[in-house]
Amino acid sequence: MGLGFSFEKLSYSHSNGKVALQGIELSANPGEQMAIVGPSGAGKTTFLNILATGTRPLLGQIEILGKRPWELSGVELKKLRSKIGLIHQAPPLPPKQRVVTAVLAGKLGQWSLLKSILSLLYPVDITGAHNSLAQLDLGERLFERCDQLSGGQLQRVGIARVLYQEPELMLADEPVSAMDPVLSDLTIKRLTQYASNKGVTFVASLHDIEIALKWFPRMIGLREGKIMFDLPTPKVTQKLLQELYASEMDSPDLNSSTQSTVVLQKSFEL
Amino acid sequence: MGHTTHGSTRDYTHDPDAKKRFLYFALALIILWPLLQLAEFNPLAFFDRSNWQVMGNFLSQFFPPNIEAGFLQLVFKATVETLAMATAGTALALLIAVPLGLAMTFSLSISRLGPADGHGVRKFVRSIARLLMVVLRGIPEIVWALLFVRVFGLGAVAGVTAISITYGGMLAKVYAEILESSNSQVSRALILAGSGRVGAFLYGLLPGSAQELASYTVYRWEAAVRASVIMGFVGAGGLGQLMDQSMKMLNGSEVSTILIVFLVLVLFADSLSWYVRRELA
Repeated sequence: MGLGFSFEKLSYSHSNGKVALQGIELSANPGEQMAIVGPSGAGKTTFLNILATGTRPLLGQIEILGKRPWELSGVELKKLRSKIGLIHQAPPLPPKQRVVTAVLAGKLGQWSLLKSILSLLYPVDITGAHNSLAQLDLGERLFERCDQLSGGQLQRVGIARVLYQEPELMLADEPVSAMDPVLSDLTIKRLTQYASNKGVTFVASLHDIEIALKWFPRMIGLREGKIMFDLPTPKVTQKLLQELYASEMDSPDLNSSTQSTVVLQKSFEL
Repeated sequence: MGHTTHGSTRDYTHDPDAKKRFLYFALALIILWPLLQLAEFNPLAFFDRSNWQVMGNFLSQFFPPNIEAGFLQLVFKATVETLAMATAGTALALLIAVPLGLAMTFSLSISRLGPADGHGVRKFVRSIARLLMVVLRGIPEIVWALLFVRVFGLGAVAGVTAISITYGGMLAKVYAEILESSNSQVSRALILAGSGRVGAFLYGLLPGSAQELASYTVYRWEAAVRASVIMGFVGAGGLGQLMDQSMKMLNGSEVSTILIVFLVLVLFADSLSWYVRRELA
């Protein structure tokens, strides 16, 4: 199985000069699962994009599944990418595409061009697509069009595509943002179980602290592009979490800062 | 989010972009007016009685359309020829347009992710492809046709080749623009999962843009039918040649029959386009 990943002194700035990540040092063993938490704009999405080889860091070394992506040839990079599955916050699915096709597209990186074309004429792996959807309780929507589904269902189709891809490194950027609390909890549970069963390295960014604390053994606190803490979940204290989100609560525009504190306290009691 | 200004520093009662909008409108008028003058455009000429008479005399030559069985047979044969040439020309144009269009589409670029090394080189290749497209469609069909008549001799081959080259360039440009304006997040996600360019097009961009691609292709086929008039000049047969002969003989009723056939063909293309769009909706 995979070789996890490692970041050394990684930094990245957006084209407008805004620093997104600064001096990130982090590594994960194969099969490790971690949640990334932090306020909006902390750099969580950029971090995941770099891990997904969609963004190239300006400084520092990265190694993903034993490879340095930006030193690979085009063919090797494509092969590496086919082993990385990124679950997007806004599921990138064409509205007019059928669910079965959207899920099967997860394996485009592993299929030959001929197989990809044939699958448009007749889906080559209906059972496989159905199994992936069934893991998220969406099996019966297989032959419907994506525009017939709700936001939360679409997000689960996006997840089913990545499960079907069978990646060695699974990444998720706010994977449950469009789901209700019960479904969010269930979906993250399924994802972590899947990762455990298959020995897949799993990194998810989450807004919901409660879910992060409940399902992930390791937590990374990201704030203003820097790692504020990197701890086994039991060692993450309420004080740390309050500091992580401090700027949001101190903001002069937010006079209801007590509300956030309540949420944090509540989530910590779990 | 983006705006940090609060309250008093800004005027919230007027549209701040109105000035720019007005300036562009004024600029368009300032440029357009002398152009109309140059083109000797005079709307009053439409209301001149004697002009109406000239037009009336001209049009009356076209009436009634020639519906003799012998001539209709000729027209039918020519129509079939024209349809064959237009279809062959458009099909060959697709062979040029599809690879060029896909190569041009920036949202299908694999090297832009990162960006990877060699992205600059690929950008250069893309601008060469763009230049090639401009040459293909920048030279009018008739010039290509005259060139190919020298190569292939008089006949359909020259006409079909001329159409496929010009239309290949036009289709490639519009294909690339249609693909560019559809959601690039979808194809980006597929490329990030290891998909190639063609896979990202088929599974990512095609579902959202199939309607537009199909209706523009049908429109180009319709235009190719009309362009068969040019085929007449190079002796390729078809409606173009028939029309050329009728015009030279000043036979207005034959010309009007042929024009009616053109109208019917355009109507057919229109309903085909409507049908295809509905099926792809």
